[in-house]
Amino acid sequence: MANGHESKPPEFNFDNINWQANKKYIIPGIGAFVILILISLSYYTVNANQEGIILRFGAYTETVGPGLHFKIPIVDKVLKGEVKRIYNEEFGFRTRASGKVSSFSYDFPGALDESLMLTGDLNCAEVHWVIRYKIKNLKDFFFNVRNVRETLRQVSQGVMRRIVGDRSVDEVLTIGRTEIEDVVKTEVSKSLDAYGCGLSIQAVMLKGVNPPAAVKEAFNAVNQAVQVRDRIINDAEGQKNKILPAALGKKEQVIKEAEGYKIRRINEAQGDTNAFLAILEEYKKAQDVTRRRLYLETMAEILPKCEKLYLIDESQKGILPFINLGAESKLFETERQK
Amino acid sequence: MKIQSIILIAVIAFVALIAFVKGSLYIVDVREQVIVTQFGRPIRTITEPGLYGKIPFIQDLRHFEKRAIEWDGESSDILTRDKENIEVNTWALWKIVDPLRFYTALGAEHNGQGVLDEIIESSVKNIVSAYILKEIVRDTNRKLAYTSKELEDAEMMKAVLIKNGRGKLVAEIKIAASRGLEERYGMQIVDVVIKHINYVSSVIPKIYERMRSERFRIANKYESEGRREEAEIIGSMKKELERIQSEGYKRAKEIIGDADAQAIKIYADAYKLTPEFYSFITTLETYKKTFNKDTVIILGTKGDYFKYLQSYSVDGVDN
Repeated sequence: MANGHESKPPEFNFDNINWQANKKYIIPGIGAFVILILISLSYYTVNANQEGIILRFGAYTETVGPGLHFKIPIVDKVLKGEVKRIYNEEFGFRTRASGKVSSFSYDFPGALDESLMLTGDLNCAEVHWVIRYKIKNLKDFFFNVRNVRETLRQVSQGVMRRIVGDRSVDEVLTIGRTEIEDVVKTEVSKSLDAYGCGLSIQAVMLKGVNPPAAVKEAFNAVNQAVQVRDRIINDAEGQKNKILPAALGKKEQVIKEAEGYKIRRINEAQGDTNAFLAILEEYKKAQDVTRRRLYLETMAEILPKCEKLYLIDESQKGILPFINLGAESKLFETERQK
Repeated sequence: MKIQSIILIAVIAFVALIAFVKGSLYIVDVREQVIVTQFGRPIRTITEPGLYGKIPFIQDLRHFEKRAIEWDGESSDILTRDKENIEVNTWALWKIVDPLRFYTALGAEHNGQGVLDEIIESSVKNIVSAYILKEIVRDTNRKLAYTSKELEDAEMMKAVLIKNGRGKLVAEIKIAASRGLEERYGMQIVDVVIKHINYVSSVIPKIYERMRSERFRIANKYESEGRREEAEIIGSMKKELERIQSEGYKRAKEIIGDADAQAIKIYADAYKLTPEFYSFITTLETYKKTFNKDTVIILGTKGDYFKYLQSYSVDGVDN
């Protein structure tokens, strides 16, 4: 046996193992190794949001909750599912990054295949939606359908298209969205339960429905036209409601002024005639005296005003009736006025 | 004997034991079904889960899915009865309900998929081409609602009542595809789904054009409707304005005329009693008003005013 003095690096040589000396360790060593492996295969943990299904010899035995559990190695198989988790399936779009402000992608390859659909009035619309679901029955989830997620996706698309195909493009774009969400949720649940998928649909949410890009302008034009029409009519009504009351007010005013005139006129007339009648009363009592008095009063008032007063005796026949038209043309006017 | 040999023999024996156990015992999972074959010939069908035994090496196992399996079709172009060119894409869920028959007829799962490729596609083609487009798109005859009456009316004009609808047609497809499926292949269709139905892409630009012109036409209708109503409102407003103004004018004139008439009557009633005195008084008033500093008065001495300049007696009689 080569030992010690050579400077070659130690080699592992099967022939050089000291079998004789270590004989008593071999069997227990292998035994211990096997036991360790078996121990590692005989326990498992179920997380807080999971449940576990145990298959013993392939058959279902029990469902276990969260915690540390034991199983028989090799014979027992554990299937775990997250029963507390809410799953999201997106259709027509994908969330690129979520956070306080999420960003979405609407044009990944295949996006239009998922989102473009025919409405009941043979128009096209792009529909984007999300389905939230939970595992409600872990046994069903594992035992009935091979690819539950795929089934959910295909059925959802089929149902959404069937419902949208029974609705007008307006109902899909705006007025019928809540109703569509409700009906799709009911119908998808119905189908999945019929297949025994073990899922519970929490919600169907439409996220952004719009007409295809090529016709967006035309759809917007309709909305704008409605607004324009309403605005035009409102403006006209407003104008009418401003002008007509003003005209009525003016009419009232014109009538009031006429009535005012009437009162004034009548009062004036009555005033004048009353004054006249008062004088008449006096006159009736002493006619000649009154006439004379009135005449003289008038003369006393007017004669002092006139600067030029000519007194001519009627018997004077020789005066040439001469009127100086040059300097006293005002006289001519006065004569004419009389 | 050397220890090495003992170990070698032990390991070989252990491995052989494992192989034997593995070859003669097997577990059937609850999610699968198994055909036991002997020299390629099926001799036993197992559909219940558990631990089973077989003869190693001579007998073999074929595993099949017991759960529902997905089948995904390819898009196919179909011409509807009203000559509309559409793309239809279907998906289905199916099961192996008779594994023995399935194994005998098809052998492996992917052949089952192949069978469905043919059967479902042809059923879809046959049924879709027998109906008009509306029958395939619509599900029920529910009334379509719109945001405006114009759009509602436009749709009512085109409305066609359907007799079947998508739900019923899909059921027809399922029945047609299922015919003979179980007897021949041991397969069963759980459900068929139309997951995509749309105009063929070459036709889509025309469809968009139709949608565009329809909407633009309605937009124009709204605007002209607005203009029309505006003209009506303004027109009736103008008429009303005329009426109000002319009424006011007429009424005012009536009042003024009445006022003048009444005034004249008041004056006339008073003055007609003494016309002479009235003319005397008003003439004196006129003198007062019209005479001013520029007036030149020429009077004869015989006038009443200067009467007493000549004499103080009353017509020659002393008093």
